[in-house]
Amino acid sequence: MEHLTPERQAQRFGRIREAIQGGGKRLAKIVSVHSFRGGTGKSNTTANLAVLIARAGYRVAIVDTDIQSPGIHVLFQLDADEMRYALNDYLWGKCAIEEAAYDLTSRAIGTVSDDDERPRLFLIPASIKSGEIGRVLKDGYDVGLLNDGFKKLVRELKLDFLLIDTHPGVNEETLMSIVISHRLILVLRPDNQDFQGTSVTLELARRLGMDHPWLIVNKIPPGMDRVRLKEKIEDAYQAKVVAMLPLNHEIVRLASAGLFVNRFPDHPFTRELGLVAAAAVQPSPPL
Amino acid sequence: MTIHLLDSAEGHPIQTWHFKEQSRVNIGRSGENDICITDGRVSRLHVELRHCENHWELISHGRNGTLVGGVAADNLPLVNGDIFQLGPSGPTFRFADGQQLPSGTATISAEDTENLDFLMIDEQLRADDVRQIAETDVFQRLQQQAQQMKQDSDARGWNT
Repeated sequence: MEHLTPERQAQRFGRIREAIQGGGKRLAKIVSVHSFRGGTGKSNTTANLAVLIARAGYRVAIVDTDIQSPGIHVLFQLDADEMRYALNDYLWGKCAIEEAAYDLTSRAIGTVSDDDERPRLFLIPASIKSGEIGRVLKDGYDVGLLNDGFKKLVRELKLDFLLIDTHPGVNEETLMSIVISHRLILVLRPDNQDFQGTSVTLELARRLGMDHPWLIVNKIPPGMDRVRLKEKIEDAYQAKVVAMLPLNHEIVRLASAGLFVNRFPDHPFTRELGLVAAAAVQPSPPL
Repeated sequence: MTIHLLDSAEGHPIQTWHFKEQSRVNIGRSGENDICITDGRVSRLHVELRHCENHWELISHGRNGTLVGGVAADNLPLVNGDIFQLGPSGPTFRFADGQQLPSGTATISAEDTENLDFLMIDEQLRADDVRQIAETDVFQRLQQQAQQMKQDSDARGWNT
């Protein structure tokens, strides 16, 4: 893959932010959602958070960069035959990135008049064709291209928010997503492996200039002392826990086929995630 | 004897019950059970675990049956580490009778939800993992880019 000089790459990233911060106009925010291991509920959290942010009156897109194990399209019930193009096609030069964006506003939020620009919700899915997944594992791809794609998405779709659903673990694409993001949300379960792994990710993120990451603790079993858990995690990581989400049998039963916040608008899970959405839309100083 | 409810995707325990002096443990949807699972695929009394002399037996009462190690079973002695599922798509549990699990299957997890001491950071391991990644060319290039971007945005007065 292409390796640009740091100066050249920084220019490229800088242009992305410029496009995003665009001269006093509405500013777009890039939010990366990551977890150290799979199974934390990261994609579910990303999808539901995106819906809540869009509902508050914003144009939001989710990019599924978890190319090796894509899944977020299932939550929006976007079938394979509806996907003409996916993120993979953009990365292989087969389409423009905006051609891989699907407007899911009506199915995720409800009917919005064509005259109204907001809210809007888009998804850029990763391909679920097995050959495409294998190709990524075998050949890799140019992460710089991903950056250029993000910039174009922000511009073409006039986004207020771009949420990046990353692949679990630490790899080049994850780290790059952190570099270009305004906000990093780490999702973890209260277990020992997540606790250890998240400490590594946090340290790497800090070295990349991400000073104020947010933590979402998910799948908290009944009976666990939530107050002590929150204190313990905030103390160990010196980072803010923005949501403590209970182990949610209903979300397990939805079996990745549906958006929890739409199905259960009054559930404590929805309310807690609503607070994260509210905090996410607060203006924050630019990077 | 210990029963773990397993996460379907990852297979690690998400909830754990310990039983010390009981010789019978019932699992089902009804609130009268020792382990109550509110799930439509689970019968009101789905599984009975009964202690017989020196082992535990599983007796299935569920409408959708019970799979032990992926095979349908009505009445079966359990061995340590056995995995059973309530119906073909229902919740999955692991049985542990207090002995050590075979090596490689033990999972460090929220065994005891009352005590949070299992949430520990091994600082040495953390430092080693961070160093391994931070020393790579990819990371150092990204770090330079991040710094460059910060300087660029400072120069434009964005950080004031």
